[in-house]
Amino acid sequence: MSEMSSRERVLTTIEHKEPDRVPLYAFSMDPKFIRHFGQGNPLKAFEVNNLDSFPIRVQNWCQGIPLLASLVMDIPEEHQTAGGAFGGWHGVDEFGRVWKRGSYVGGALKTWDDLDKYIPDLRLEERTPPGVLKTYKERYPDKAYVLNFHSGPFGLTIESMGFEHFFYSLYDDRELVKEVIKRRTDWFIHICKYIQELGADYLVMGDDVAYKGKTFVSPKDFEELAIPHYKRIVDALDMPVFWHSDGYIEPLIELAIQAGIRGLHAIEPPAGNDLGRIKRNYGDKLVLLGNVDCVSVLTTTDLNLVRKEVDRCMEQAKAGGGFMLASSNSLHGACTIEAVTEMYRYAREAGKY
Amino acid sequence: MEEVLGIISDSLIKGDASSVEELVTRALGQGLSPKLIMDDGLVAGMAVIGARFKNDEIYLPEVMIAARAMNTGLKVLEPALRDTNAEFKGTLVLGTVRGDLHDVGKNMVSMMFRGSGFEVIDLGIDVAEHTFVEKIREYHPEIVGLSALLSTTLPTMKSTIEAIDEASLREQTIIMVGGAPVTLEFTKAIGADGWAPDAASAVDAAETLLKRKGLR
Repeated sequence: MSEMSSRERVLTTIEHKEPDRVPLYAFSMDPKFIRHFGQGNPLKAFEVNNLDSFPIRVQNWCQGIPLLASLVMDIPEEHQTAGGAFGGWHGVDEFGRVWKRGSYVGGALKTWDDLDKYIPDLRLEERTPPGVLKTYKERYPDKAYVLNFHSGPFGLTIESMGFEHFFYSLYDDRELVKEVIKRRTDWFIHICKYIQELGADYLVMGDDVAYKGKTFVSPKDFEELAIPHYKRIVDALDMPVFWHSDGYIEPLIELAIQAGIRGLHAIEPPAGNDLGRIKRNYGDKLVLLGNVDCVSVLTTTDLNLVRKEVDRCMEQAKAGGGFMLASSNSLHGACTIEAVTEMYRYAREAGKY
Repeated sequence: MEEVLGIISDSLIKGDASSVEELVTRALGQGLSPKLIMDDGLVAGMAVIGARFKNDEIYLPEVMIAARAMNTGLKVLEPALRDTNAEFKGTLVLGTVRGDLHDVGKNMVSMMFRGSGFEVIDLGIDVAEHTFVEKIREYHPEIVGLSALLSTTLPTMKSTIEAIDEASLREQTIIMVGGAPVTLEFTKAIGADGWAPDAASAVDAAETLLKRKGLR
């Protein structure tokens, strides 16, 4: 098979056909990788690793500090302990999440009166300047463009209310929870439509709904609270909608498919997900993105282990297309440069059809 | 008279905090012993919650509202428990390790242990190695629990255990670790005594470890 462009490779994969090789994908990168691979330029970091989908960024702010602030400004020392993409976030962000030294510590949205305060203004052109994407597309016309957007309606509702208050509110004031999710979805759809018009090929909706071994709420509650809004998002957009969640999400996959979700990231192995089983059960309906273990493999410098893990992913999910190789979550700060480099390098060999 | 204990247990399972508060008050008024109310009312209810959670019959919200109801009952009961010198099953000193500010998992563990009759000394988040050492000296706990959510703070679990070892405080305590990135392999590698995949299982694991070490 002749070599495809990145965009052809990704679109062929989304159609569940076999391209020339498995496309390479990343949901997000810690600033350390952007500095190392891209000298501070996020797109350059994606280019150096031959990633096939380039990300379209949507900016968020916490007290005026943007995401990935450490790449563009000096962060006060007292605010930078945890660092990462949220380095410098300290206080309440525009969604109502509370941060301390770059770490999420709780939610500020507690009552109906807080609703208007923490559904942010759209600020479309500030979040994603159209000129920037146009420049990228002119410079990299052969890449696919993905909206990796970690502001999904359900997970963000949990985070903005705080876990404990969210769980209590399911019993104390369920209507408030429903209203927050509805308004977050409205906001999310506005942003996604705007980015779609700018030229996104697909959306990966980041919406964390699970943890190790279990979903936050029962499948029944998830079906009632989240699924109608996932369907609204799918119906409102012309591009394929994929879903990213941390944790063990297998019990929710059937519901997500019913809502029209067409792809799944990150399929964390330590959380209990089995890529092979998901491929067998849902591989004809979902594009799978994952799931190189970023807890026990990508945090090492054992390159043999990395190659074995890439082989495992390929064996479980490559056949028939519909698979993109990625980390089992973000490329977080504890992953090593060596392991990430080798994962993508070796996947270009091992992923050939 | 002891029918009220079953109703306390049922109300706790439903997460009905105001009924639990009222019923515990009534049970004390009827002259039932605080220890009996604790064991056959509150702890019995939380045991059902723990089993249902492990069997995927219920999820975090149901556990949280049950735990809230239990805490409401405990607030009524604790002065009476102190007056009668009722004994806890053991003491847990618990904290999220240095550099990690996440507490949801730790709070779940705290509630499950409290609900199972343990005394819990919650040190909060971002707890330094030396603080764990000081609190072990102060409270002489049978169990020390280290929590972490971030992969980047896993090494701090190891250094905390090393600090406890260096202070020669391992003889009379077991160290348990937990959190999203923690695995059984990691637990063994850093020399912790035990691990559990979730808060509900942690109590069972702790009780097994305590028996094995002769601390129960």
